[in-house]
Amino acid sequence: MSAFLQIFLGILTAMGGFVEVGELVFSVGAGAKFGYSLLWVVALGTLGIILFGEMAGRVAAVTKQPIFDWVRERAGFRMGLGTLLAANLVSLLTCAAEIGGIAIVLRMMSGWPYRLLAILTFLALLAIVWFFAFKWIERFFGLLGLLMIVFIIAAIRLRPDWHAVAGGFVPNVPAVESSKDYLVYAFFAVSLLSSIMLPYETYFYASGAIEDGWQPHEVPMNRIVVTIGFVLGSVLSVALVLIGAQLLKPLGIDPQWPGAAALGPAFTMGRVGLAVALLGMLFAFGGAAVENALTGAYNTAQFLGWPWGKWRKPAGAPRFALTWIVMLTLAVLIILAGVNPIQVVEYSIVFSVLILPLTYLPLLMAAGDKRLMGAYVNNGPTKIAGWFFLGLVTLAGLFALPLLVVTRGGKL
Amino acid sequence: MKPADLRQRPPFFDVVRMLMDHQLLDADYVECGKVDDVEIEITDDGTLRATAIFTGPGAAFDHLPGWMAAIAKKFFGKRSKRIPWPEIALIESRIKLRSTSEALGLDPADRSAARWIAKLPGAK
Repeated sequence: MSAFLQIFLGILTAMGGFVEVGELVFSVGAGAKFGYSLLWVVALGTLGIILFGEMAGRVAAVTKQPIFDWVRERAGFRMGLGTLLAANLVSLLTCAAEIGGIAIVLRMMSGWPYRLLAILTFLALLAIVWFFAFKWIERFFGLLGLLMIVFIIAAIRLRPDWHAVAGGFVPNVPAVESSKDYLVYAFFAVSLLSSIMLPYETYFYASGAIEDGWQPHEVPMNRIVVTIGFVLGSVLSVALVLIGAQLLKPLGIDPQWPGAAALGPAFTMGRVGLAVALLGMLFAFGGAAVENALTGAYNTAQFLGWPWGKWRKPAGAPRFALTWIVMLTLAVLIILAGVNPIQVVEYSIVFSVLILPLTYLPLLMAAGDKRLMGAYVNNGPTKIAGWFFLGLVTLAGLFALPLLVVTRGGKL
Repeated sequence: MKPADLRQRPPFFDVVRMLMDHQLLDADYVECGKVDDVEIEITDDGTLRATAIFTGPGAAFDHLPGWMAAIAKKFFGKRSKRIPWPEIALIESRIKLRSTSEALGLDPADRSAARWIAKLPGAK
């Protein structure tokens, strides 16, 4: 395959896989509650995920070692086990939220019972991961997730005040009515940042780079794919904030369901817009569900030293295969137990930000290790930016749980 | 770096950094566990010498606090395998062994799971 096509596909896949149910709910919610004023968090989070996504891909391409190999070597069994359990819990919750999100969207489309749709979703995802090769899974969900572009078109058609939109990219605290609203603003800022910088994205990206057999000479390509793909993906997040701000805020709608976002395309493009938006959500959530199930298996196998990888048939990496099957099964059981998927989203986002520092520290240390990385070691600016974001997510992590409790999940 | 080179490199060999928790690969380059413990002996002249490595849940769980180790061993077993030093072919970021994992008796769970899974369509 030509290098150009490879880069093009990579960018589309990164973009299509950027938004999942948590990011959708928090982006639209941020717009509906605070207008454009949280856009700077989207920009900041995008910079962070580009920085650490690039680092994860580079370390994997150069050392052929994925993240949980590092976690195990650097932190040892005892500390590393804590990180593994926390990371897999977050991936499980995220996977459950995505399956719930898919069932909600399917119910909107078909009117069938929610639990039946959750089971059908589970079976479809199981079959896709079992039979498809890694590359095709990646492209199937990534490319069909591009239907989400309809949200960008809807946001433009809603004719936002572009001057005010630009102002939202400058860090600011909006004028709000009470001090409680400041807490809700802080909760949304932390959650939005976390939903964009979800840790599974770096685990999955690094494992995927090894699955695809990246070599050190592909490091520059990795940089282009990550930067352009994630920036385009974040345009989608911005569009969701704009839809929340333009359409839902004036109507006083507090979007508690993923379907609320689809009002944007439905309002501007009618039935076709609605249908494309719902399909886009299906594939975007489906991709995230699969990535989280596989991430749980990658992490576990890499930490315990098992054979792993989708490039092996299930019989060649049996415990790896069993682990992603268990992840999908537990996730659907959480949804079948009747837990509200949006509540699961909130918890998964908040726990994500708690484990972000545990993910980024070993990555930063590995990428900055000259003996290991040779010519591909972190340069000065990357090092400074890396430590800045590590400090930022640590700070966000400290405040995440208290803010969740005090604001009752932003519903104060 | 070959084990023989290590022995000629006094005075220090950082066992924790270079061995502990590193990935094991068998003769076919298949992952077969992590280095969960290292056996050290004191020779007659008072120097320390690594004589074997251990891999398996039993050895790994010993790094957990007592009560956690007891629970973990109850659920996941206390199996661990001693791999004598001469079995090590190469020490890099990953540690390569001279024999296959089957010959060494590593990962019996993987082989029984593989037999079971191989019966399903699309598994091979």
